[in-house]
Amino acid sequence: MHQVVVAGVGMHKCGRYPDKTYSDLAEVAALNALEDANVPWEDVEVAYASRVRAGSTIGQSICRRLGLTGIPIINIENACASGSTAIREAFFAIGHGLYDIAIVIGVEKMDRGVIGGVGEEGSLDRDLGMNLMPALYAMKANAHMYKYGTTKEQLAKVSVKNHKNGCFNPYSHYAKVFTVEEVLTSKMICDPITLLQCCPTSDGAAAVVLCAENVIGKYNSKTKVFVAGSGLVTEKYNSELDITTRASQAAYEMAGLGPKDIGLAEVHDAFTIGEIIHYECLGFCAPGEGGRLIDEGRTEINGDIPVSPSGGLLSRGHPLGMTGVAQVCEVVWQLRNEAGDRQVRDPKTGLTHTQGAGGVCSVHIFTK
Amino acid sequence: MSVEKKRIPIRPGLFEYIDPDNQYIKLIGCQCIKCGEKHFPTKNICPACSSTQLKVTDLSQTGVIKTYTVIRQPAPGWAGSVPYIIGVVVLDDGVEVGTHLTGIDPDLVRVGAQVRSVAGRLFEDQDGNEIIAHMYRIIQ
Repeated sequence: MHQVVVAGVGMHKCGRYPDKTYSDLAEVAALNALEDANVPWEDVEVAYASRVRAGSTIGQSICRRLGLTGIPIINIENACASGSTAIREAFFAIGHGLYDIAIVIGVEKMDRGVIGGVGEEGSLDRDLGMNLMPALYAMKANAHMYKYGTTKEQLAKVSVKNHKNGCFNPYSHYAKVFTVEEVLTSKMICDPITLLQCCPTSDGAAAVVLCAENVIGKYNSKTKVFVAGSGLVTEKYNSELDITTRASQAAYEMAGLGPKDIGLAEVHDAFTIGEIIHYECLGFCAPGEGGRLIDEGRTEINGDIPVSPSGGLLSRGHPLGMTGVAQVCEVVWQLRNEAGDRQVRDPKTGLTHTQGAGGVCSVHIFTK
Repeated sequence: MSVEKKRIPIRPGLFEYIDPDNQYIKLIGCQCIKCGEKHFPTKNICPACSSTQLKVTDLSQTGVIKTYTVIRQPAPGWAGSVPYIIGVVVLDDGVEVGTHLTGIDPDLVRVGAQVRSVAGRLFEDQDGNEIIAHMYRIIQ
Protein backbone atom coordinates (compact mmCIF):
# COMPACT_ATOMS: atom_id res chain seq x y z
CA MET A 1 0.00 0.00 0.00
CA HIS A 2 1.11 3.59 -0.67
CA GLN A 3 1.80 5.77 2.33
CA VAL A 4 -1.00 8.23 3.11
CA VAL A 5 -0.56 11.53 4.94
CA VAL A 6 -2.98 14.06 6.37
CA ALA A 7 -2.35 17.15 4.24
CA GLY A 8 -4.69 19.50 6.05
CA VAL A 9 -7.45 19.74 8.64
CA GLY A 10 -10.19 22.22 9.49
CA MET A 11 -13.33 22.64 11.58
CA HIS A 12 -16.42 24.71 12.16
CA LYS A 13 -16.84 25.48 15.86
CA CYS A 14 -19.37 23.20 17.57
CA GLY A 15 -22.47 24.82 19.02
CA ARG A 16 -26.14 25.34 18.24
CA TYR A 17 -26.76 26.99 14.89
CA PRO A 18 -30.50 26.93 14.17
CA ASP A 19 -30.03 29.31 11.25
CA LYS A 20 -27.27 27.33 9.51
CA THR A 21 -27.67 24.34 7.22
CA TYR A 22 -25.47 21.24 7.08
CA SER A 23 -23.77 22.72 4.01
CA ASP A 24 -23.17 26.06 5.77
CA LEU A 25 -21.25 24.30 8.53
CA ALA A 26 -19.45 21.86 6.23
CA GLU A 27 -18.35 24.53 3.76
CA VAL A 28 -16.44 26.37 6.50
CA ALA A 29 -14.71 23.19 7.69
CA ALA A 30 -13.84 22.12 4.13
CA LEU A 31 -12.41 25.52 3.19
CA ASN A 32 -10.34 25.55 6.40
CA ALA A 33 -8.94 22.09 5.63
CA LEU A 34 -8.16 22.95 2.00
CA GLU A 35 -6.42 26.14 3.11
CA ASP A 36 -4.47 24.29 5.80
CA ALA A 37 -3.40 21.72 3.19
CA ASN A 38 -2.73 24.38 0.56
CA VAL A 39 -4.58 22.08 -1.85
CA PRO A 40 -6.83 23.78 -4.43
CA TRP A 41 -10.33 22.26 -4.65
CA GLU A 42 -9.76 21.43 -8.32
CA ASP A 43 -7.02 18.97 -7.31
CA VAL A 44 -9.29 16.94 -5.00
CA GLU A 45 -10.16 13.70 -6.78
CA VAL A 46 -12.78 12.20 -4.47
CA ALA A 47 -14.95 13.37 -1.56
CA TYR A 48 -16.42 11.41 1.34
CA ALA A 49 -19.17 12.96 3.43
CA SER A 50 -20.17 11.43 6.77
CA ARG A 51 -23.42 12.21 8.51
CA VAL A 52 -26.10 10.23 10.34
CA ARG A 53 -29.27 12.30 10.36
CA ALA A 54 -29.19 14.34 7.15
CA GLY A 55 -31.11 13.06 4.17
CA SER A 56 -29.59 11.73 0.98
CA THR A 57 -26.58 13.16 -0.91
CA ILE A 58 -25.48 15.76 1.64
CA GLY A 59 -21.95 15.35 0.22
CA GLN A 60 -23.21 16.58 -3.15
CA SER A 61 -24.87 19.59 -1.53
CA ILE A 62 -21.63 20.50 0.24
CA CYS A 63 -19.37 19.98 -2.78
CA ARG A 64 -21.73 22.01 -4.97
CA ARG A 65 -20.67 24.97 -2.78
CA LEU A 66 -17.01 24.27 -3.47
CA GLY A 67 -17.29 23.83 -7.23
CA LEU A 68 -18.85 21.27 -9.56
CA THR A 69 -15.70 19.45 -10.57
CA GLY A 70 -17.51 16.20 -11.34
CA ILE A 71 -15.56 13.99 -8.91
CA PRO A 72 -17.03 10.92 -7.22
CA ILE A 73 -18.78 11.85 -3.96
CA ILE A 74 -19.61 9.13 -1.46
CA ASN A 75 -22.00 9.60 1.47
CA ILE A 76 -21.28 7.46 4.52
CA GLU A 77 -23.42 6.61 7.55
CA ASN A 78 -22.11 4.30 10.29
CA ALA A 79 -23.63 5.77 13.49
CA CYS A 80 -21.12 7.49 15.78
CA ALA A 81 -18.29 5.90 13.79
CA SER A 82 -19.45 7.50 10.51
CA GLY A 83 -16.57 9.99 10.36
CA SER A 84 -13.99 7.33 11.21
CA THR A 85 -15.43 5.02 8.60
CA ALA A 86 -15.16 7.78 5.99
CA ILE A 87 -11.52 8.40 6.98
CA ARG A 88 -10.83 4.69 6.59
CA GLU A 89 -12.45 4.50 3.15
CA ALA A 90 -10.45 7.52 1.92
CA PHE A 91 -7.25 6.08 3.45
CA PHE A 92 -7.66 2.76 1.64
CA ALA A 93 -8.68 4.40 -1.63
CA ILE A 94 -5.48 6.46 -1.70
CA GLY A 95 -3.40 3.65 -0.20
CA HIS A 96 -4.46 1.32 -2.99
CA GLY A 97 -3.65 3.90 -5.64
CA LEU A 98 -7.16 4.85 -6.78
CA TYR A 99 -6.56 8.54 -6.04
CA ASP A 100 -3.84 10.88 -4.83
CA ILE A 101 -6.01 13.40 -2.97
CA ALA A 102 -9.28 12.94 -1.06
CA ILE A 103 -11.34 15.15 1.21
CA VAL A 104 -13.37 13.75 4.10
CA ILE A 105 -16.10 16.01 5.49
CA GLY A 106 -18.03 15.11 8.64
CA VAL A 107 -21.06 17.18 9.62
CA GLU A 108 -24.16 16.97 11.80
CA LYS A 109 -26.96 19.02 13.29
CA MET A 110 -28.48 17.52 16.43
CA ASP A 111 -31.90 17.81 18.06
CA ARG A 112 -32.00 18.61 21.75
CA GLY A 113 -32.78 15.84 24.23
CA VAL A 114 -31.50 12.33 24.83
CA ILE A 115 -30.01 10.45 21.90
CA GLY A 116 -32.36 7.61 21.03
CA GLY A 117 -32.68 5.94 17.71
CA VAL A 118 -30.70 2.81 18.43
CA GLY A 119 -31.97 -0.03 16.32
CA GLU A 120 -34.26 -0.13 13.38
CA GLU A 121 -37.65 1.56 13.38
CA GLY A 122 -40.20 -1.07 14.35
CA SER A 123 -37.62 -3.21 16.16
CA LEU A 124 -38.63 -4.83 19.44
CA ASP A 125 -36.00 -3.02 21.53
CA ARG A 126 -37.17 0.31 20.18
CA ASP A 127 -40.83 -0.44 20.89
CA LEU A 128 -39.88 -1.50 24.42
CA GLY A 129 -38.28 1.92 25.04
CA MET A 130 -34.87 0.35 25.61
CA ASN A 131 -32.86 2.08 22.94
CA LEU A 132 -31.49 5.23 24.52
CA MET A 133 -27.75 5.70 24.21
CA PRO A 134 -27.39 6.99 27.81
CA ALA A 135 -29.27 3.91 29.07
CA LEU A 136 -26.96 1.52 27.23
CA TYR A 137 -23.90 3.24 28.72
CA ALA A 138 -25.55 3.44 32.15
CA MET A 139 -25.96 -0.34 32.05
CA LYS A 140 -22.26 -0.69 31.17
CA ALA A 141 -21.50 1.57 34.13
CA ASN A 142 -23.50 -0.47 36.62
CA ALA A 143 -21.92 -3.70 35.36
CA HIS A 144 -18.41 -2.18 35.62
CA MET A 145 -19.07 -0.79 39.09
CA TYR A 146 -20.38 -4.16 40.26
CA LYS A 147 -17.50 -6.14 38.76
CA TYR A 148 -14.56 -3.85 39.54
CA GLY A 149 -15.73 -1.43 42.21
CA THR A 150 -15.47 1.57 39.90
CA THR A 151 -16.99 4.60 41.65
CA LYS A 152 -19.33 7.41 40.64
CA GLU A 153 -16.57 9.86 41.52
CA GLN A 154 -14.25 8.19 39.00
CA LEU A 155 -16.91 8.51 36.31
CA ALA A 156 -17.38 12.19 37.19
CA LYS A 157 -13.64 12.84 36.93
CA VAL A 158 -13.79 11.99 33.21
CA SER A 159 -16.30 14.81 32.73
CA VAL A 160 -14.24 17.20 34.88
CA LYS A 161 -11.05 16.44 32.89
CA ASN A 162 -12.63 16.74 29.45
CA HIS A 163 -14.55 19.91 30.26
CA LYS A 164 -11.31 21.44 31.55
CA ASN A 165 -9.51 20.44 28.33
CA GLY A 166 -12.32 21.83 26.21
CA CYS A 167 -11.77 25.30 27.68
CA PHE A 168 -8.54 25.46 25.66
CA ASN A 169 -10.12 24.34 22.37
CA PRO A 170 -11.53 27.19 20.25
CA TYR A 171 -13.83 24.68 18.47
CA SER A 172 -15.50 23.41 21.68
CA HIS A 173 -19.22 23.79 22.20
CA TYR A 174 -18.66 24.26 25.94
CA ALA A 175 -15.78 26.07 27.59
CA LYS A 176 -16.71 25.71 31.23
CA VAL A 177 -15.09 23.90 34.14
CA PHE A 178 -17.11 21.78 36.56
CA THR A 179 -16.32 20.13 39.89
CA VAL A 180 -16.90 16.44 40.67
CA GLU A 181 -19.75 17.48 42.94
CA GLU A 182 -21.38 19.59 40.21
CA VAL A 183 -21.17 16.66 37.80
CA LEU A 184 -22.68 14.21 40.29
CA THR A 185 -25.50 16.52 41.39
CA SER A 186 -26.55 17.52 37.86
CA LYS A 187 -29.86 16.04 36.66
CA MET A 188 -30.01 12.23 36.67
CA ILE A 189 -30.59 10.93 33.13
CA CYS A 190 -30.13 7.15 33.48
CA ASP A 191 -28.68 5.96 36.81
CA PRO A 192 -25.76 6.48 37.42
CA ILE A 193 -25.25 8.76 34.39
CA THR A 194 -26.05 12.42 35.15
CA LEU A 195 -26.53 15.22 32.62
CA LEU A 196 -22.92 16.45 32.85
CA GLN A 197 -21.74 12.92 32.08
CA CYS A 198 -23.51 13.02 28.70
CA CYS A 199 -22.14 14.67 25.58
CA PRO A 200 -24.13 17.76 24.60
CA THR A 201 -26.26 17.80 21.45
CA SER A 202 -24.22 20.02 19.15
CA ASP A 203 -24.03 21.12 15.54
CA GLY A 204 -20.61 21.15 13.91
CA ALA A 205 -18.37 20.12 11.04
CA ALA A 206 -14.82 18.94 10.45
CA ALA A 207 -12.82 18.18 7.33
CA VAL A 208 -9.58 16.39 6.54
CA VAL A 209 -7.60 16.36 3.29
CA LEU A 210 -5.77 13.06 2.81
CA CYS A 211 -2.99 12.78 0.28
CA ALA A 212 -0.57 10.21 -1.17
CA GLU A 213 2.80 10.79 0.50
CA ASN A 214 4.58 11.16 -2.82
CA VAL A 215 2.54 14.20 -3.91
CA ILE A 216 2.30 16.14 -0.63
CA GLY A 217 5.55 17.99 -1.40
CA LYS A 218 3.74 19.87 -4.19
CA TYR A 219 1.39 21.46 -1.66
CA ASN A 220 2.98 22.05 1.73
CA SER A 221 5.98 21.32 3.90
CA LYS A 222 4.19 20.95 7.23
CA THR A 223 5.02 18.09 9.59
CA LYS A 224 3.95 14.93 7.77
CA VAL A 225 1.29 13.07 9.72
CA PHE A 226 0.95 9.50 8.40
CA VAL A 227 -2.12 7.30 8.67
CA ALA A 228 -0.34 4.28 10.15
CA GLY A 229 -3.14 1.93 11.11
CA SER A 230 -6.89 1.48 10.73
CA GLY A 231 -9.35 -0.89 12.35
CA LEU A 232 -13.11 -1.18 11.80
CA VAL A 233 -15.16 -3.93 13.41
CA THR A 234 -18.72 -4.77 14.29
CA GLU A 235 -20.06 -6.78 17.21
CA LYS A 236 -19.34 -10.50 17.01
CA TYR A 237 -21.60 -13.18 18.46
CA ASN A 238 -20.47 -14.22 21.94
CA SER A 239 -17.00 -12.74 21.43
CA GLU A 240 -14.88 -12.61 24.58
CA LEU A 241 -13.36 -9.40 23.24
CA ASP A 242 -14.95 -5.96 23.29
CA ILE A 243 -15.36 -4.23 19.92
CA THR A 244 -12.83 -1.57 21.01
CA THR A 245 -10.30 -4.28 21.82
CA ARG A 246 -10.80 -5.89 18.42
CA ALA A 247 -10.68 -2.60 16.46
CA SER A 248 -7.57 -1.40 18.31
CA GLN A 249 -5.78 -4.72 17.88
CA ALA A 250 -6.31 -4.44 14.11
CA ALA A 251 -5.03 -0.85 14.07
CA TYR A 252 -2.04 -1.59 16.34
CA GLU A 253 -1.07 -4.56 14.18
CA MET A 254 -1.26 -2.57 10.96
CA ALA A 255 0.79 0.27 12.49
CA GLY A 256 3.29 -2.10 14.08
CA LEU A 257 2.73 -0.27 17.36
CA GLY A 258 1.25 -1.03 20.78
CA PRO A 259 -0.62 0.89 23.48
CA LYS A 260 2.63 1.98 25.16
CA ASP A 261 3.69 3.78 21.95
CA ILE A 262 0.64 6.09 21.88
CA GLY A 263 1.39 9.75 22.65
CA LEU A 264 -2.23 10.89 22.91
CA ALA A 265 -5.66 9.47 22.21
CA GLU A 266 -9.00 10.96 21.22
CA VAL A 267 -11.50 8.52 22.70
CA HIS A 268 -15.26 8.09 22.36
CA ASP A 269 -16.42 9.68 25.63
CA ALA A 270 -20.07 10.25 24.67
CA PHE A 271 -20.82 9.12 28.25
CA THR A 272 -18.20 9.10 31.02
CA ILE A 273 -18.17 5.35 31.62
CA GLY A 274 -17.24 4.87 27.96
CA GLU A 275 -13.87 6.54 28.44
CA ILE A 276 -13.09 4.40 31.53
CA ILE A 277 -13.89 1.17 29.68
CA HIS A 278 -12.06 2.30 26.53
CA TYR A 279 -8.85 2.93 28.54
CA GLU A 280 -8.92 -0.77 29.30
CA CYS A 281 -9.93 -2.01 25.85
CA LEU A 282 -7.36 0.20 24.09
CA GLY A 283 -4.69 -1.36 26.33
CA PHE A 284 -3.80 1.78 28.32
CA CYS A 285 -4.39 -0.21 31.52
CA ALA A 286 -5.52 -3.68 32.61
CA PRO A 287 -9.22 -4.64 32.74
CA GLY A 288 -10.83 -3.06 35.79
CA GLU A 289 -8.07 -0.46 36.21
CA GLY A 290 -9.78 2.33 34.22
CA GLY A 291 -11.03 4.08 37.34
CA ARG A 292 -7.55 4.10 38.81
CA LEU A 293 -6.10 5.57 35.59
CA ILE A 294 -8.33 8.65 35.89
CA ASP A 295 -7.72 8.87 39.67
CA GLU A 296 -3.96 8.96 39.11
CA GLY A 297 -4.27 11.76 36.56
CA ARG A 298 -2.43 9.78 33.92
CA THR A 299 -4.92 10.73 31.17
CA GLU A 300 -4.65 14.47 31.81
CA ILE A 301 -2.91 16.61 29.16
CA ASN A 302 0.31 16.44 31.23
CA GLY A 303 -0.11 12.74 32.08
CA ASP A 304 1.74 9.84 30.47
CA ILE A 305 -1.23 8.88 28.24
CA PRO A 306 -3.28 12.04 27.58
CA VAL A 307 -6.85 11.24 26.51
CA SER A 308 -9.10 13.67 24.65
CA PRO A 309 -7.05 16.86 25.05
CA SER A 310 -9.60 18.40 22.64
CA GLY A 311 -12.25 18.18 25.34
CA GLY A 312 -13.66 15.07 23.74
CA LEU A 313 -17.29 14.52 22.89
CA LEU A 314 -18.25 15.73 26.38
CA SER A 315 -16.97 19.28 25.89
CA ARG A 316 -16.18 19.83 22.21
CA GLY A 317 -19.50 18.22 21.36
CA HIS A 318 -20.70 15.18 19.43
CA PRO A 319 -22.32 16.11 16.13
CA LEU A 320 -22.48 12.42 15.17
CA GLY A 321 -21.10 12.48 11.63
CA MET A 322 -18.45 15.05 12.57
CA THR A 323 -16.81 13.34 15.51
CA GLY A 324 -14.47 10.83 13.85
CA VAL A 325 -13.18 13.53 11.51
CA ALA A 326 -12.76 16.12 14.29
CA GLN A 327 -10.69 13.60 16.25
CA VAL A 328 -8.24 13.46 13.34
CA CYS A 329 -8.07 17.27 13.31
CA GLU A 330 -7.06 17.24 16.98
CA VAL A 331 -4.44 14.51 16.53
CA VAL A 332 -2.89 16.40 13.60
CA TRP A 333 -2.79 19.68 15.54
CA GLN A 334 -1.17 17.83 18.45
CA LEU A 335 1.40 16.02 16.30
CA ARG A 336 2.30 19.32 14.61
CA ASN A 337 2.58 21.01 18.04
CA GLU A 338 -0.13 23.48 16.99
CA ALA A 339 -2.56 22.78 19.86
CA GLY A 340 -1.84 25.92 21.89
CA ASP A 341 -2.71 25.80 25.58
CA ARG A 342 -3.90 22.19 25.35
CA GLN A 343 -0.70 20.96 23.67
CA VAL A 344 0.52 17.54 24.78
CA ARG A 345 4.29 17.46 25.28
CA ASP A 346 5.80 16.54 21.89
CA PRO A 347 3.71 13.49 20.95
CA LYS A 348 5.03 11.20 18.19
CA THR A 349 1.83 9.18 17.70
CA GLY A 350 -1.90 9.72 18.14
CA LEU A 351 -4.89 7.39 18.25
CA THR A 352 -8.55 8.06 17.44
CA HIS A 353 -11.47 5.89 18.57
CA THR A 354 -15.21 6.03 17.91
CA GLN A 355 -17.96 3.53 18.47
CA GLY A 356 -21.69 3.56 18.20
CA ALA A 357 -25.08 2.08 17.63
CA GLY A 358 -25.19 -1.21 15.81
CA GLY A 359 -22.06 -2.38 17.64
CA VAL A 360 -19.65 -0.58 15.32
CA CYS A 361 -16.16 0.56 16.37
CA SER A 362 -13.23 2.16 14.57
CA VAL A 363 -9.68 2.95 15.67
CA HIS A 364 -6.99 4.81 13.72
CA ILE A 365 -3.34 5.43 14.53
CA PHE A 366 -1.32 8.37 13.23
CA THR A 367 2.46 8.90 13.36
CA LYS A 368 4.90 11.61 12.37
CA MET B 1 -71.93 0.85 28.55
CA SER B 2 -68.40 0.49 29.78
CA VAL B 3 -65.73 -0.64 27.39
CA GLU B 4 -63.35 -3.09 28.97
CA LYS B 5 -59.69 -2.32 28.44
CA LYS B 6 -57.85 -5.00 26.55
CA ARG B 7 -54.41 -6.28 27.48
CA ILE B 8 -52.52 -6.60 24.21
CA PRO B 9 -49.03 -8.15 23.93
CA ILE B 10 -46.63 -5.81 22.12
CA ARG B 11 -45.82 -8.66 19.75
CA PRO B 12 -47.43 -12.05 19.21
CA GLY B 13 -45.30 -15.09 19.97
CA LEU B 14 -42.96 -13.63 22.62
CA PHE B 15 -44.38 -15.44 25.67
CA GLU B 16 -47.11 -17.71 27.05
CA TYR B 17 -48.95 -17.41 30.34
CA ILE B 18 -48.33 -20.25 32.78
CA ASP B 19 -50.08 -18.69 35.79
CA PRO B 20 -52.29 -15.80 34.64
CA ASP B 21 -53.38 -14.96 38.21
CA ASN B 22 -49.82 -14.05 39.09
CA GLN B 23 -48.94 -12.82 35.57
CA TYR B 24 -46.29 -15.56 35.43
CA ILE B 25 -45.12 -16.28 31.88
CA LYS B 26 -42.50 -18.26 30.04
CA LEU B 27 -40.58 -16.78 27.14
CA ILE B 28 -40.74 -18.52 23.78
CA GLY B 29 -37.28 -18.79 22.30
CA CYS B 30 -35.57 -20.99 19.79
CA GLN B 31 -32.64 -23.37 19.79
CA CYS B 32 -30.27 -24.04 16.93
CA ILE B 33 -30.31 -27.71 15.99
CA LYS B 34 -26.78 -27.43 14.60
CA CYS B 35 -24.86 -25.56 17.33
CA GLY B 36 -27.25 -25.78 20.27
CA GLU B 37 -27.34 -22.02 21.02
CA LYS B 38 -30.62 -20.68 22.38
CA HIS B 39 -31.99 -17.27 21.37
CA PHE B 40 -34.82 -14.87 22.19
CA PRO B 41 -37.01 -13.99 20.43
CA THR B 42 -37.32 -16.73 17.81
CA LYS B 43 -35.23 -16.32 14.67
CA ASN B 44 -35.09 -17.71 11.17
CA ILE B 45 -31.29 -17.83 11.12
CA CYS B 46 -28.96 -18.67 14.01
CA PRO B 47 -26.82 -15.59 14.80
CA ALA B 48 -24.10 -17.86 16.18
CA CYS B 49 -23.63 -20.24 13.22
CA SER B 50 -26.03 -19.00 10.50
CA SER B 51 -27.87 -22.32 10.38
CA THR B 52 -31.51 -22.14 9.31
CA GLN B 53 -32.41 -25.22 11.33
CA LEU B 54 -33.92 -23.90 14.53
CA LYS B 55 -36.66 -25.27 16.77
CA VAL B 56 -38.98 -23.40 19.08
CA THR B 57 -38.17 -23.93 22.76
CA ASP B 58 -39.34 -22.67 26.15
CA LEU B 59 -36.78 -20.62 28.03
CA SER B 60 -36.04 -20.67 31.77
CA GLN B 61 -38.49 -18.69 33.83
CA THR B 62 -35.82 -17.48 36.23
CA GLY B 63 -32.46 -15.78 35.97
CA VAL B 64 -30.27 -13.05 37.47
CA ILE B 65 -29.86 -9.33 36.72
CA LYS B 66 -26.57 -8.81 34.86
CA THR B 67 -26.97 -5.03 34.73
CA TYR B 68 -29.70 -2.39 34.81
CA THR B 69 -30.46 1.31 34.72
CA VAL B 70 -33.32 3.56 35.75
CA ILE B 71 -34.45 5.64 32.78
CA ARG B 72 -35.52 9.07 34.01
CA GLN B 73 -35.60 10.90 30.66
CA PRO B 74 -37.85 9.24 28.06
CA ALA B 75 -36.66 8.08 24.65
CA PRO B 76 -38.10 10.02 21.70
CA GLY B 77 -41.51 8.55 20.96
CA TRP B 78 -41.83 6.65 24.26
CA ALA B 79 -45.55 6.42 25.11
CA GLY B 80 -45.11 5.27 28.70
CA SER B 81 -44.22 7.14 31.86
CA VAL B 82 -40.84 7.66 33.54
CA PRO B 83 -38.99 6.53 35.52
CA TYR B 84 -38.81 2.92 34.41
CA ILE B 85 -36.17 0.29 34.95
CA ILE B 86 -34.56 -1.73 32.20
CA GLY B 87 -31.81 -4.29 32.39
CA VAL B 88 -30.15 -7.35 31.00
CA VAL B 89 -31.25 -10.63 32.58
CA VAL B 90 -29.22 -13.82 32.17
CA LEU B 91 -31.67 -16.71 32.27
CA ASP B 92 -30.72 -19.98 33.96
CA ASP B 93 -30.27 -21.55 30.51
CA GLY B 94 -27.75 -18.85 29.54
CA VAL B 95 -29.91 -16.72 27.24
CA GLU B 96 -29.51 -12.96 27.76
CA VAL B 97 -32.70 -10.91 27.56
CA GLY B 98 -32.87 -7.12 27.34
CA THR B 99 -35.97 -6.34 29.35
CA HIS B 100 -37.98 -4.11 31.63
CA LEU B 101 -37.75 -4.82 35.37
CA THR B 102 -41.00 -4.38 37.26
CA GLY B 103 -42.29 -4.22 40.82
CA ILE B 104 -38.91 -2.99 42.07
CA ASP B 105 -38.06 0.17 43.97
CA PRO B 106 -35.56 2.00 41.71
CA ASP B 107 -33.31 2.51 44.73
CA LEU B 108 -33.28 -1.19 45.60
CA VAL B 109 -32.54 -2.77 42.22
CA ARG B 110 -29.11 -4.45 42.16
CA VAL B 111 -26.90 -6.55 39.94
CA GLY B 112 -27.03 -10.23 40.82
CA ALA B 113 -30.62 -10.26 42.09
CA GLN B 114 -32.68 -13.35 41.17
CA VAL B 115 -35.69 -12.62 38.97
CA ARG B 116 -38.72 -14.35 37.45
CA SER B 117 -40.49 -13.63 34.14
CA VAL B 118 -43.86 -11.90 34.36
CA ALA B 119 -46.19 -10.05 32.00
CA GLY B 120 -46.21 -6.31 32.70
CA ARG B 121 -47.78 -3.13 31.43
CA LEU B 122 -45.61 -0.99 29.13
CA PHE B 123 -48.06 1.82 28.37
CA GLU B 124 -51.59 2.49 27.19
CA ASP B 125 -52.30 2.89 23.50
CA GLN B 126 -54.55 5.61 22.01
CA ASP B 127 -57.67 3.50 22.64
CA GLY B 128 -56.82 2.98 26.29
CA ASN B 129 -55.72 -0.62 25.82
CA GLU B 130 -52.84 -1.83 27.96
CA ILE B 131 -49.81 -2.85 25.94
CA ILE B 132 -48.10 -5.78 27.65
CA ALA B 133 -44.55 -7.10 27.44
CA HIS B 134 -42.38 -9.70 29.13
CA MET B 135 -40.67 -8.23 32.20
CA TYR B 136 -38.77 -9.51 35.22
CA ARG B 137 -39.58 -9.21 38.90
CA ILE B 138 -37.18 -9.84 41.79
CA ILE B 139 -37.85 -13.11 43.61
CA GLN B 140 -38.34 -12.25 47.28
